Amino acid sequence: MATRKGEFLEPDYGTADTSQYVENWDQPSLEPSQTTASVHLSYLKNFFDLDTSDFLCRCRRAIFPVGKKILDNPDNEEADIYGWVWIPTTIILVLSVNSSLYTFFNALFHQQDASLSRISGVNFRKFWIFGVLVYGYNIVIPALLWAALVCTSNRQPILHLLCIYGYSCTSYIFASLISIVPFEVVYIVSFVIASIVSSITLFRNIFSEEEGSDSSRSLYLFRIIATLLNVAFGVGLLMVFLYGT
Amino acid sequence: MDAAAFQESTLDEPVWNTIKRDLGLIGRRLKLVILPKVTAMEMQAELRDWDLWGPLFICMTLATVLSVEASEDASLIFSCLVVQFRSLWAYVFWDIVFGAAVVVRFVTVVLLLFWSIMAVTAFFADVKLPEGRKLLAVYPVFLFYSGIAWMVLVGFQEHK
Repeated sequence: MATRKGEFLEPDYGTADTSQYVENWDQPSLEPSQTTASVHLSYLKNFFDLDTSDFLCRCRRAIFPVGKKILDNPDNEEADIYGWVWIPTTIILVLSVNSSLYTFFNALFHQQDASLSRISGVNFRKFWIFGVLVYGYNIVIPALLWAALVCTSNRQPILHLLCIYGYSCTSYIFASLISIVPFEVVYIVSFVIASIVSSITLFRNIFSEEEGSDSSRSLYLFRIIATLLNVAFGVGLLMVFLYGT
Repeated sequence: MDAAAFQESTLDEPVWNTIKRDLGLIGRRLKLVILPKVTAMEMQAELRDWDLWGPLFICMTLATVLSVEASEDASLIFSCLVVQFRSLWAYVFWDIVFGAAVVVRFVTVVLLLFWSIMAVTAFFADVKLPEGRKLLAVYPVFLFYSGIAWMVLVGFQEHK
């Protein structure tokens, strides 16, 4: 094809029909069978398909683990990963902020002498430790659990596991907010309570009832293990908050 | 033919004209962020015609201002913020940059944080979110800007 001087030549895409990826990028999500690229953005929309009211309902049921289960909602029973992404992120941010915000307010309102107030500013070391701990727990443990369940012929949907692990961390957000109070006893008690609530939530909701029998002995064993790991996670968060440098 | 003619004319124009045009673009977008009172069509047109000059300058300024005050974590702060320039929404950083330099930091930063979020919410008008999902879409933005505001707020205490 003849071109004028300086005219930019567009790459030749051949005969592939790319119109659905260019022109329809903001259209409602495609069905997985309609696209060959599983990492296409509109495919991921399927995993974030919930309303604000659904999200708040699931969080409320995660904080109050008695009564209906997290995904027991006739309007929307599909597992989502919005909670799995943003609830742990919130915990990391709130814990990192509160570990330095307390000293900020202390200096702001008490006008301490410059030589006495050695505020560390942004504590990135603690931020990274929280990040590794929280994201590591919420990624590695569900993946290992899913793999172990597959090996023992108790297959559970990975999306369901990720969803429940995400929402079970909701109580830690409140414990993290309380951690700004400058009394150790207060936030130790709040972390212990959050850990108990989170573990009960995980124990009740972790497995999908659609897949196999809920009363199988091996499933019960996995429930116990997952719950104990959750308790250890809560203790780990508290230790890092108190003693992480 | 029109596109080729337009391209040819901007290639041959003086450098100062190009810079002036880009500076005008940045100024217009900053004005849009400060006072997002435009029609949905105008907002849509601006979002379609995105550029990265403004986010680059704003994020570099923020990173430089914070790094001047920080010591050990200067490189980390700088690199984290420079990465964020790849976003049209980084235009809303302007107010947090401004908050980094004034005395009453806490109240100012909090107010400007909420102003940023309101500006981003105006941008969402173009995305046509389904009913009942606006809060879910705005929340990650709020989280992100809160992190930046926290860095601006707390990062300056080290020299006291």
